[in-house]
Amino acid sequence: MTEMLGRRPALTLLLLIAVLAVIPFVVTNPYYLHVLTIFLLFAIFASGWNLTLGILGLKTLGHHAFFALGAYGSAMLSHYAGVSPWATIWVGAGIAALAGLLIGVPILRIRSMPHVAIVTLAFAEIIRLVLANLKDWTRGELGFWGIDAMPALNLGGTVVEFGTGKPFGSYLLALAFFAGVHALLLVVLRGRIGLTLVAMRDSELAAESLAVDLTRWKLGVFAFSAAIVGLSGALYAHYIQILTPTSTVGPEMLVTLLAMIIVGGVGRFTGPILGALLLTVVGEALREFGDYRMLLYGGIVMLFVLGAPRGLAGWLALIGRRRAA
Amino acid sequence: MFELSGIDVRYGAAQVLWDLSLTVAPGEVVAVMGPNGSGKSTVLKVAMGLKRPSGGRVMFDGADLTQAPATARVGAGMSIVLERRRLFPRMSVRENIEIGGFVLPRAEIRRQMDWVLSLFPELRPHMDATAGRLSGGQQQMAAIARGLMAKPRLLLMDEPLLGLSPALQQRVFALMREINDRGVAILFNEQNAKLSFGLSHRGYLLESGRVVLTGSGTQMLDHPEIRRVYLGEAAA
Repeated sequence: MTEMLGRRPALTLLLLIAVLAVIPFVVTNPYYLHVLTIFLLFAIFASGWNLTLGILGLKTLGHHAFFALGAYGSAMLSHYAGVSPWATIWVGAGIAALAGLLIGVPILRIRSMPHVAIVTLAFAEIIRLVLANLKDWTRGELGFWGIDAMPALNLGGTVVEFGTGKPFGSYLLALAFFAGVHALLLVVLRGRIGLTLVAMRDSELAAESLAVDLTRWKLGVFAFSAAIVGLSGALYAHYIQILTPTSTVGPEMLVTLLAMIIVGGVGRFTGPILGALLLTVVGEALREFGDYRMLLYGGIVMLFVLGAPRGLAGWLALIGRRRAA
Repeated sequence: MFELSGIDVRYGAAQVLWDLSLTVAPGEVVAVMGPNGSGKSTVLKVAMGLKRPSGGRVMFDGADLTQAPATARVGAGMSIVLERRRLFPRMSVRENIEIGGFVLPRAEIRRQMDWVLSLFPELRPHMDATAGRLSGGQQQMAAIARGLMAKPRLLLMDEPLLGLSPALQQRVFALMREINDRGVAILFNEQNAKLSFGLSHRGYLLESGRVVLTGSGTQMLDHPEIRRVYLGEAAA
């Protein structure tokens, strides 16, 4: 469990949240705050996906579909039905969880991990095509614009606004959800649930022999993971306020988020957070290179994978162990 | 207490167990002995619900568990120590043992762990070590400790001596006796006839998926066929 959670994970998370909480009061440049808001939302996405990909060991490649379902579900419900985004973001997470259960049932029948990867990838492509073709509702690749921002909150006389062009409030909102989701994940993973997931990943036979109902556990974790990713999608939708099928469930989203998990450290609690921070910042910093951006991005990812095959979190843990020795 | 009757098992088109029957009475130690590929491990997998038989019945305390998954069997009072230990290598020894009590209420886990560790004092200094770093003997102790966490009345052990030095084999055998003395019945398999039947109250000899001989431990050890084929003694 130490390998998955690292040493003193609660303290690490608390310190990280404390540092992140100070940032909007120090950094006033709205663009920097926007980049960091995207990092926080992608960190939630990556940590949710890491639950099945790294911690449970199910090689799924379709979690960006849950992101899109959460995003479009929440955005469409608030736009067409006039429901407050404060409520629809949870519906978006619920839609993603339900989709996770539906796709989870056939996936659990497949023993071969490459086949699981292909089936989930195909599922994501189906979702992309459906969103692209339901033009009357989603406006397809023209973009579903005019999405409501999260309604402003009055916090003791101070009105905090969210959405595009409101970097301070948006950042704090993303940070609040980042903190909540990661605290929840930590509580879940520290206890018997975490042990059970690691047991299932390391030896399904041994876990089953200890009375772990593999099917129920896998389905439950898959739905929980999808719900977290769906929630990040819903928050993204009400922050960016425009969605296209390609930007939410296209191949670039898949590669970017997968790279965040791999570079950060697959199966490690802090891995997706570190990966999301590094690659969101690097991705933005490379924008000035125009057409060469993705080439450089890929090169940097390769360098990290070769230099730190267990990810940044694994590399930091190794340094910590060497210092302690 | 426990009964397999008329068990047939297939892996695809190949049948590996044929009309196999065996029983374990309360408090008994029963050995299943046989050469490689005779189906010993499959017997234990069927007993634990990790492999579905294509025919026959599995009974435990009068209940028909033939279709019951491993989850139900652990709840009923059975537990297994798998072949090659199958510890979770990246968990600590403590965590490996703790998860053995998956079916127990949280409050009971600590009590049961104390009871289990009274049998394995040699594990106490290594409780926070990663299981993958333990020696083979320590890993076997941890695996048995994990198997005992669910408070089994019947403990299944798949080749518990595999890969252990003679001294460690003796230690594991002493532990099996002690576990049995504390009221836990044991069904185990092993390739070494002398060790298997020396410890067990009764034994079964398996060849090509069929029971070819059964009797008390002493009867099995004295049987001319076992003496000749499995103990390497010259025919009289």
